Amino acid sequence: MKKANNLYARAHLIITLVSLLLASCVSTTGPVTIRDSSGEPTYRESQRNENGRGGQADIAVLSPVRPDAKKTVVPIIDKLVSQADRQVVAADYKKAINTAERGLRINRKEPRLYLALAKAYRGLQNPRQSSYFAKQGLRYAKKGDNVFRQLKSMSN
Amino acid sequence: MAKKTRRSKTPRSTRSHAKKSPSVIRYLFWRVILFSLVAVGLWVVYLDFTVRGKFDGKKWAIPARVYAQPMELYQGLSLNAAAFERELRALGYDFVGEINAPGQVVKRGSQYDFYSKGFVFWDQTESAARYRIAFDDNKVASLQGADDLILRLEPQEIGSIYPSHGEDRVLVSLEDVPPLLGEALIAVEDKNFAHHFGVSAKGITRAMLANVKAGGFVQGGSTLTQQLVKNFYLTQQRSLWRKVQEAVMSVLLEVHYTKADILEAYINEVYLGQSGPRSINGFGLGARHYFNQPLTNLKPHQIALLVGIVKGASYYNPWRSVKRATTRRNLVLRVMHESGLMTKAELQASLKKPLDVVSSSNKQIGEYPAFLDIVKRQLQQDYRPEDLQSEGLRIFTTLSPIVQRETEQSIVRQMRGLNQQSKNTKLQAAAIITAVGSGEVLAAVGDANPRFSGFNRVLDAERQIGSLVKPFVFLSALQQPQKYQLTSMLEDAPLSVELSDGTLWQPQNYSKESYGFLPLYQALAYSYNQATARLGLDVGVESVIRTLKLAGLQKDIKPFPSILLGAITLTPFEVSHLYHTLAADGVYTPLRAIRSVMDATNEPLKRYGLSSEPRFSAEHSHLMHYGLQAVMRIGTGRSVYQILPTELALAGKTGTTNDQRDSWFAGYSGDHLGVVWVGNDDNKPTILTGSSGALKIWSDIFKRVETQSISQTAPESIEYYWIDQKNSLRSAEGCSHAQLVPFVIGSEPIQKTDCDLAGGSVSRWFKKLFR
Repeated sequence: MKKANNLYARAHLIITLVSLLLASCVSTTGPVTIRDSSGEPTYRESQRNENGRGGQADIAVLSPVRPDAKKTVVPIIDKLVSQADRQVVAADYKKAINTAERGLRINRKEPRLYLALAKAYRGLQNPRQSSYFAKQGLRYAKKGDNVFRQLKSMSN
Repeated sequence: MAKKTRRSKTPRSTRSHAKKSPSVIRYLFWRVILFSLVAVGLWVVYLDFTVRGKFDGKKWAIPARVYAQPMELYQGLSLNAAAFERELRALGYDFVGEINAPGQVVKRGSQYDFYSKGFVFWDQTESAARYRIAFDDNKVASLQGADDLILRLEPQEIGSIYPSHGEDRVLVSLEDVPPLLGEALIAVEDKNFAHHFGVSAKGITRAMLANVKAGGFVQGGSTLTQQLVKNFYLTQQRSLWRKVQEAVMSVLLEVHYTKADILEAYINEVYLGQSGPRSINGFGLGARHYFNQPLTNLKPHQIALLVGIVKGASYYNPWRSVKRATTRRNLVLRVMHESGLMTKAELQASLKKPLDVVSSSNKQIGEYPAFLDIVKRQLQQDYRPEDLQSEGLRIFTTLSPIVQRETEQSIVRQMRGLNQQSKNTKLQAAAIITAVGSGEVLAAVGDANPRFSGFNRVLDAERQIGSLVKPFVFLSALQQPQKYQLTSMLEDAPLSVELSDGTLWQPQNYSKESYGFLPLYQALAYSYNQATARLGLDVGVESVIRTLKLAGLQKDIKPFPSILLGAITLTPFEVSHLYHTLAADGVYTPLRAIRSVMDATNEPLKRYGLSSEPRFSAEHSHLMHYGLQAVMRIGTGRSVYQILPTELALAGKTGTTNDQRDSWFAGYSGDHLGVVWVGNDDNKPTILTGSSGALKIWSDIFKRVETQSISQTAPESIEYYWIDQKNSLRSAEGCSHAQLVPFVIGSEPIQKTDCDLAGGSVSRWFKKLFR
């Protein structure tokens, strides 16, 4: 009896969910925000016309695909960030730039490396390039965190 | 009286002449002798001045040496074992059973133990050390032995910048020369070297005897000093006068300098071969040229070959005549044995060895003419040509041997097919691959025959770019988000524009058809000319030119409407600049082929660091990534996914010019940007479009290069919405024709459309929900 009740409860839940989903499908959705790399959409061709020339009558559709994005973790980046930071603190700016550039060749979207570059160029009395790197780093920094705040303050 | 006097004087005078004649002659004789001695003395002084002047000063113009980027190894690096092994072989590593010395490797499955050779880089010196590296799933699984964060292998030497007379050399000091080389050289070329004073009658006699005994020519009559004088100071002309000069200068050289100085100069001066226009001089470069090894690593049989080649580099060329070179080498080996330089057993072992020269197809130096051309032109902005040719600079470049190799092979492979397809063997091609973000040029090919060193199309072929300009028209529009979004409906219909000279500009689509209203991103994907021209005219030609300039266009162009469809001539290098800005999320970075320059004493001279400037906002760049990915998924570039995996997110644009004179493709992944051009040098039409020509080469390159997807991570100011593609109104997931499209926040459509449920979507939702 208890088992039947459970089954009934599950079926009820599923039906409710289906109804909710169908309802959500027929009404328009809000924004679909995709930010983290684990939820990155790529686009798969699901329909296209023969000659690749569409038009109103024959519109090709790009369907979103959310691949199981394997986030590449390269521990070397953390080490390079630490090394560049140490070099900045030691006012060894040229070495810090060299280290940060090595890191960016591995991951060009690492905001901490842009921060190191911005600091190093500021140390070398090149405020213009410092500001450019800070601005570039802001594109990849997480809003509100410490790196973002530092980059923000150096970007002006 | 006077007559008498005169008469009496005349005979006396005659007598006196007759009497004085011998003394005059003697006088004159001594005068001539004196003058001759003075002249000879002056001549000797002059020769002495010449000998010392050149020997004391800078003896040679030392060409700049150019290096590829070093392979950097660290745990987690995407690299397969085969590529690593290829790199080691290219660097001249020996695959052995047990490691004993630098430059050796032991392979066990996908694990390699190796002893690096060490190298002086611009920022630090990497010492020779033992490492163990293991590969798994096309990645570096572990790296042991690296104290530093990243292990750098020594870079491949890819060329040199040598003077117009073509002499190239790598200077070595006597301490760096294996003793066996010097001894073998003396044994073969000048047995009496230690004892003579530049010229040696004994040596000539000994040489004659040795030749008779050996049954062949194994020794020359000239001493090493004479040979050095001949090569270093004199011409190759054979005359008695030159021989005398040579003898005198040899003696002078011996008077002023030690035997060690003379031997060292000889080792660096001697001519050892030819590589195209480049003359291989000195044993330092000879070792690299023939064996791809530093001189110190040579084995006795290799030393014997080099010593043997001294007699006639062309005649004993080991690639041209293996038999002749082997005979000569063996003769030298026997002389070495007879001179006590090797045991009988060593002789027997060495005689059995092959020549061991690098395969002629694997000779690396001078392989990359288009890339080196870029390097030279960038260097010329900072250095005088004479300094590049003579100061022994060390130039560290950005060339990736792996990417360069794949690019070359793809061009050769695909051009074969395109030539057949076009029935045109004169089709030309150029390609340039850059690293996204750093702007480093990784590979460049300037000719359909990648090794051909002539017209460099990467830098010099200025061609109309056709539809490659369209992304900049669309980007100009997308920078007005309240007016244009990716889903804005554009009209693809005939238009006519009256130009200032009264003519009409009436662009047509490639198919000569019109496609009516369609979303902006589809107009880009399908490369519709009429929709683009209408959009461009609406945003303004000047605005499009501004966008091009921000993306990196250096030249001035006049604001004709035809610019909107690519009536601009640019080189593949210039196109790379523009597209790199798109690929790098709107950040402009000057492309560079050089990382650093050091002088001959390893002092850093100049570093060519990363410099960049954000020129377009992150959100507008994100919209462009989307539009250019649509080109690859549904548009004119979609054939790429017949070759590349569909999971790989790529963006790009095809370009075809009028009458199909140019076939272009510019596209990028997350890591690499590639620009490819195919066409005729004489600008004649081809049968190729951007898709059927350049894209084939591009796809082939990107199939073989390890590369990552474009990141889909959206900036904070972007939101994705489901949009109905038919009317560009808000829709929902699962509805027919619904498409997820990014918008700059606040620019998304407000109005909603009815939803026709598309089949299969519910089950997809369920799958996701319960996953």
